[in-house]
Amino acid sequence: MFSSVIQPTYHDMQAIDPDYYKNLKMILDYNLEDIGLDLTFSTVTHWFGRSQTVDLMPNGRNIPVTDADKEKYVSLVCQHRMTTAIEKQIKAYLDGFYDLVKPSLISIFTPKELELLISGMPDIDIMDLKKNTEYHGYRAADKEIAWFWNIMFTLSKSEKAAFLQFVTGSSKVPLNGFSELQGMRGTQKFSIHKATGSVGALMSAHTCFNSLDLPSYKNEDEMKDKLLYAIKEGAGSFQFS
Amino acid sequence: MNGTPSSAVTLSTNSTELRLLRVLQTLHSLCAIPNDDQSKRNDEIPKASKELVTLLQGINLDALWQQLNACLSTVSVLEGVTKLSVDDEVKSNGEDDEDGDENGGRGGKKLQNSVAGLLSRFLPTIEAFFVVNACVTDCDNKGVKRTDNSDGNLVGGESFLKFIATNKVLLNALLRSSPTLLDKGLRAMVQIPGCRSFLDFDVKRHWFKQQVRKLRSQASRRHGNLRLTIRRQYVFGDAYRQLSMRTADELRGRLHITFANEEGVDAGGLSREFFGILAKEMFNPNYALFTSTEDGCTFQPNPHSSINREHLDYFRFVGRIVGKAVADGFLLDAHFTRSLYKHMLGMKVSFNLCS
Repeated sequence: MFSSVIQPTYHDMQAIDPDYYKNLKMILDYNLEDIGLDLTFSTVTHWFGRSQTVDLMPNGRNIPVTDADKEKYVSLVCQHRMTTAIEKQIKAYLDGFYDLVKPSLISIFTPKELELLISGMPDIDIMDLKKNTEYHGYRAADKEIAWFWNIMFTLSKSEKAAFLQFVTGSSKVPLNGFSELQGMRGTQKFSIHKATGSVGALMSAHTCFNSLDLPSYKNEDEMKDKLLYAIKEGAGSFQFS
Repeated sequence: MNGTPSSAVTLSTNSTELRLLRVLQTLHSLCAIPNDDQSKRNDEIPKASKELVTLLQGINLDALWQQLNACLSTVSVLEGVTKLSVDDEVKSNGEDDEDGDENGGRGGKKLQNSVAGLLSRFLPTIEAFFVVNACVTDCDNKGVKRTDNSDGNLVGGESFLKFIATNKVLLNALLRSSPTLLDKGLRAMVQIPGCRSFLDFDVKRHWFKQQVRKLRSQASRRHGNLRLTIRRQYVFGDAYRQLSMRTADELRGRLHITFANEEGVDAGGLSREFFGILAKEMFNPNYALFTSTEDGCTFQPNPHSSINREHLDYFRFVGRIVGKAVADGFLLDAHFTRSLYKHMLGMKVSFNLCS
């Protein structure tokens, strides 16, 4: 679990707690016997007014630190201090979160599920998108539509995300895939509309409706150029629907 | 009532079972320990008094539960669930394997049509089983193991959890076909921590959405909608200032975003855009609020955030934004460290430094 947390070095401690940093430096620079320190692999934390001895390794409070392994001690105690150093931040963040979502409601989920709940499924499955696409003015068998999907399958991951942002206003796929894409009136599947403009015009999107207005193009390459242009230029701007 | 329980399940109609359920429910509400705190009432596991536990033990419905178990295992076989449940378990137990979970969920959905009909035949007895077994008691019970430090003694003990585990697929199918059961007879499935892991994600999410929707409409009635006018160049700052002035309850109302000097009515699209911008901005290094982990994908609070004098207010704000997004069903392109997710779930974070 800890591997997902940043691994601060003892140098980072200098910015947070300069005095503590000096102590650690002294431990590293001098023999423990000379400075008369009796250390064990444990530390004392103060958390909401309570102090508590925390083992830095199993049974750490009974394992003395020697000159041979004091670097390990410094690294462990820093990691601990640096993570307890963010407990105030975490508490403030949680206060805000619980203002909106009661702990008793959210606690039914696992961490992984919570991630899915917040961020949605991370991978954009073009097959799934294709399956859940509606056509207006086009038929699924039209050559423009065939070109369009050829292009979509060649896009890089970030281009796919940019495309999704362009069309839906968000780079994230709904929790259950594109069949549950949300629009202004609840579920709104991705749709491709035949644009009335001239051949080779820019494509546009309506994020409220998850729809793409696709004009006619001379060939697949032209369509791809226009699509890449649209998703790059269109990113961040809002199209009125 | 305590005559021949085995005959109950052989009846073609389930009126007897319904009567049994009502008797048990009545007994339960008569002997229930009154809960003073109204607001907490729905969240808490029902507590049974010592008298009730003694009474129920006197009635001794074990034979009925055995019959119920036998019937449910027959249902499992008949509906081809038993085989499938093995696959499901392998997948979803694979340490939160995403694809497995999703497939499991879909597989479960397919089952619902065939299973729910036959299964609902046994619903009264299942509910009766929950009434008797799914409550906690303060008194010591022989043969009942403590299941969770905070929960006290679960009356049903191990055998209750075993029942849930065995009939996981059927219970999820049942809850999919009638989700309101999670607020009623099968409430314990979300109330008792030990049961939650047996619920499929989609079932839990559906329940969660129902709960927050209720809270949202209540709050909207009290305070009206949550209307924010945001300047497009200052989304983060504007949102921060406007949200800090509001109470938690005011924030629950339906969100309406207007971007200053822009036309457009927020019917979801603008809110979505709003959250999209915030999810990026909260990680903006200029605010010094979050640092990314080595892989660059997930974020956690920055230990040096105090260089931003209002950092704790900002963290509270970011927490509210994430909470609002989760409550209103907007996805955030924001991935946090596993330990922060654990904090959000109220779980203890294991500081396993030596691994």
